[in-house]
Amino acid sequence: MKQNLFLSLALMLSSFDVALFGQTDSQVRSRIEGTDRPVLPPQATGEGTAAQKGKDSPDVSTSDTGAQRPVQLKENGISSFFGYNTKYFYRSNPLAQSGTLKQQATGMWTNTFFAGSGLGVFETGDAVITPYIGASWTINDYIEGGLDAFNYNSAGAYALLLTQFGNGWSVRAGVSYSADSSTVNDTEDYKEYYPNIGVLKSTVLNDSTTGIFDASIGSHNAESDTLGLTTSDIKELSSIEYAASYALNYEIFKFVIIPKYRISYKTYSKGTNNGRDDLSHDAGIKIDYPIADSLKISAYYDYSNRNSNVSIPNYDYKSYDFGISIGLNARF
Amino acid sequence: MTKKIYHFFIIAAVNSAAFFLYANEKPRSIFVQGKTEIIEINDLNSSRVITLSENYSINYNDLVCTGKGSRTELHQKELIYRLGSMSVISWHSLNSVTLHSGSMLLCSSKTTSITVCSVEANATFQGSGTIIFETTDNGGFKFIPIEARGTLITSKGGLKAVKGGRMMLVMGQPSYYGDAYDIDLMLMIKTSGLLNAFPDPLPSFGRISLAIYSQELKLKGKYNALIGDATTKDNLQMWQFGDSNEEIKKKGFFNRFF
Repeated sequence: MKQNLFLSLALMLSSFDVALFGQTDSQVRSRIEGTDRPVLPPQATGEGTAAQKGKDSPDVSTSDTGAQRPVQLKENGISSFFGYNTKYFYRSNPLAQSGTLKQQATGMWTNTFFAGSGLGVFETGDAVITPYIGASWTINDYIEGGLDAFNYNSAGAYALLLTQFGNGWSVRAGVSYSADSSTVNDTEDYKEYYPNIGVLKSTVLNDSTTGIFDASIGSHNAESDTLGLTTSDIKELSSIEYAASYALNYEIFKFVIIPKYRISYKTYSKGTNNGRDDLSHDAGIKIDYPIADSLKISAYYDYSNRNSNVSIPNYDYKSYDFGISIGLNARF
Repeated sequence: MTKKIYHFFIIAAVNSAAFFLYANEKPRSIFVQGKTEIIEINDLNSSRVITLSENYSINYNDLVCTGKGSRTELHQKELIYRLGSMSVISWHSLNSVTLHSGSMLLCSSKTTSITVCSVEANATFQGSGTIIFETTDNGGFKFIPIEARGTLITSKGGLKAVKGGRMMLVMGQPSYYGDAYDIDLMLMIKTSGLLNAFPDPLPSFGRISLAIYSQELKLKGKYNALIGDATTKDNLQMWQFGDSNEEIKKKGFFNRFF
């Protein structure tokens, strides 16, 4: 309790500092904890492939045998993809602070460059196994609200083994790496290794709707600056995360509407976070419009809510984002 | 006297078992849509035509003929046969079938060896999988494995490994291989009556899904063409659609983007 009071006091002092110096360690940490880290792109999970959606086919009538369209295949199954994604959006609570939904609301502009490779397709009869590796680089800029001092760059990398089964389930196991660096201070504020396993099941609900269930368990082995308390530990942002999500992929005309709900439970055991448990809910909707095969424009809304068992300091927060994005994705 | 009765029962039991085992080996109709007829040929070479109904055992060498818009499913031990419309087929044994004309689907979840003949060609498939056969005007047939593992053997062309999605043309006597193409499985499955127009899904549904998934991962491009009949011994007919200048979709650096 005494420790929490000290921490609370430290956070209050930190809040005072921000007015003077622009950003504090606690706010950076708060921002880090409120950051969504997409571990894998859809290419690496098998989510949203043309095989599931049945796109890119000419209009032909049915026959007993079926239409026979010749295709060209890669013999070894090694494939690569790279892309660019730019997002311009409003964020109501960019520093993930407790209290009201709207605090230091800002506009954000993120630019992500990513690349990856599938290292072969191995068919075992009952399953298809595909190893993937990939990396990404994201430039995150706060463009409103005087939060420029928090601008940061994110690096990500992953290695993954994906096994797809004939019953629609896929199982993945892998490890990913993430790191955030302050653009202003040129310091690495956060890094983590995240070994994880997950399952995904796509279900075709009707001609235009696919349901996608995903569940994962992983260990965030994180390192970050401490807040200067005696019990602080550079690994105190490490946690075990259990997460599940369900999304619908609904196609209407050329639009793809994707409502999604995700629930996650994180349990911490290090430093000042020892004994902390967080339960988070995310609900959102995204509308994709493909301009071309590899180019799409999207609009989205996302609401996040976190409840923690620790009340001092208060880690509860809520926030919402809405904005647009343009994604370019090439596959070889 | 008691010994004679005992022997009688033993012989009766053996004969009954043999009868049921033999009957079980013959193809039995499971589903009939539209009109399908059997031309039964007896030992005196005379024939009679009867309308096929469900749960009917087909004798070897009898001809099964499906009418226009009709489809039939038959089971022979663990093998599943589906006949398309306007097809004529006859079985000669558990491992031998002749597709005189039309199309049929064979589904086997266990490794099997089966010889398929057409008017002029024949080939033996050893393995398991879901395969569509379609006769061609040149007397041969298309061998289209949707998902399959095993080999195909022809007398002149030898042995070839079977690969899901790779269509092979079998023709001539002695038989050899014609053109082979990888075909768009997703399109084929969406448009195939043999796969879609029957009430019960095939037991290989999961493997078919995997074959589509695997092909999607390996896909480099799609030709703007559809494969037609083989009227001569030379080549398959190819029907082009879309932009004639764009042979392979996504070819070229900028076409990958736009």
